Amino acid sequence: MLRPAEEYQRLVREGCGRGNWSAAQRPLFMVFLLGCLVSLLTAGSLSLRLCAAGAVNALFVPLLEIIALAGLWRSRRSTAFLRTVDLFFMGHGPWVLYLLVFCAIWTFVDPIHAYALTSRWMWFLLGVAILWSAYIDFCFLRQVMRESAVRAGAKLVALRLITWSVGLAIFGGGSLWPEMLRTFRL
Amino acid sequence: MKMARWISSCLLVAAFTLGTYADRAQKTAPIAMGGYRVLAGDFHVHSYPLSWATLGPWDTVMEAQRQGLEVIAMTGHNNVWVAKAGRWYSREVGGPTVLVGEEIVGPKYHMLALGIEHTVDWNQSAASAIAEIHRQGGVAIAAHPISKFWPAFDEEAMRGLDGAEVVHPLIYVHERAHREMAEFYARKSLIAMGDSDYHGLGAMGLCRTFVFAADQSEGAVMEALRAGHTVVYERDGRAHGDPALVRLAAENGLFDETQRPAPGAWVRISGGCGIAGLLGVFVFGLGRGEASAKGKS
Repeated sequence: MLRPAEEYQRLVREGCGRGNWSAAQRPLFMVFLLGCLVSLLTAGSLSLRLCAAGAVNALFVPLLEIIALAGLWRSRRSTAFLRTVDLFFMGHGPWVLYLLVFCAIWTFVDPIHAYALTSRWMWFLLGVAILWSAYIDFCFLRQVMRESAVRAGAKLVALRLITWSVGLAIFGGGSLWPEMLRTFRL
Repeated sequence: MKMARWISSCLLVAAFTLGTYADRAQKTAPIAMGGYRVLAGDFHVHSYPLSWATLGPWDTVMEAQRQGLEVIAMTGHNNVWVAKAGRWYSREVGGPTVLVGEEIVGPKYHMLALGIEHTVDWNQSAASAIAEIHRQGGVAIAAHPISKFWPAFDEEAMRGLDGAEVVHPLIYVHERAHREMAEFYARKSLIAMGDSDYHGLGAMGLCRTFVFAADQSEGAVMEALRAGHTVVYERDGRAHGDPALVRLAAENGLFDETQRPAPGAWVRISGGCGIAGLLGVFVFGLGRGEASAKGKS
């Protein structure tokens, strides 16, 4: 997470593809993590019912990322696709950390104070997570997908545009357009 | 490393065991006073998808049951189909009364349309949205009416408006929001509403509306809302609503009777173990052959 360029270089050199299961492991962990997040935010505890409900609703997140990645992947230059997926999901550390901090606040602090705390600090931390993960993904595109700096930048933007626009539409599409009109005073 | 992973896994297993054990609906005895059934309600609840919420419609219904709510309004952002799914599910399982609603999210105002069947277009003035809600037999409530939304509530809109949220999580976060929502509510005789604006954070029913209805049916709840038969409390016990019902509720100790207990020890332990376990899995990796991942993390 701290030196992604060197780490990705090393991981690509080492190869060590571990079959289909390893490629599925990290996306599934992400779904599991999002399920746990829903349970902790809702009840302050981990219940199978809420975790399963959250995980089902969050299934589209890794699927969307894998589909977007498949669209950008080129077989001739880069490592095998399954290995690429595995390495890509390794770069989600900043998001995992952000979500765990968010969850911890809502689990341990009473809701009123949690509202106050998260409305002050979480936007700042969200900005940090966005920039940090963008840098990691840029390094991923450079080292694993073997792209030039310009092409890696363009693919990073494409990746974000595809995944975030579809993700936001599914998650909050009902009010996206009027909220944009309000924010940009159109 | 192996030991750390093993401990993380054990923490997660413990968290799930305790959390699943503690995951039960609150049993509350029905409250009756002055010939009314007093129903605990939350009339501003969002569900996944499309409304920035984490729980699907069926899980929203179950969560309402867990929080001891007897009536909820599912208010999707500019849609009613998710609420209809929730109402259908609740009827199937004998859950709380579910009103189909919509939070009309426009660029200039947010408004709750309760008891409607068809989506109300957000791209119109507040006054015409209110007229459309009334045409469908619904009730129009100003959602968290802080000052930035006030310009949309002109004279015509205020004439038609039925109610306003006066208790909402925002009032505990920003003193200014508290003042502004109280000021808006005092503009005219409005139905007092206390809603949690539930998106998945905090507890559903954190802010509640007590509806004084003939019974728990949708029709009786809508009738009570139209008549303004509600009482809502701020955290310190300050009451808003129909003055006669506020008095009746005070005489019968409604505020004290409906205070919700803090989360139990099992819930707290499950939450702590869950966070620690997830952190452990994140730091120490997922399992075999994770040396490389550890290097990265």
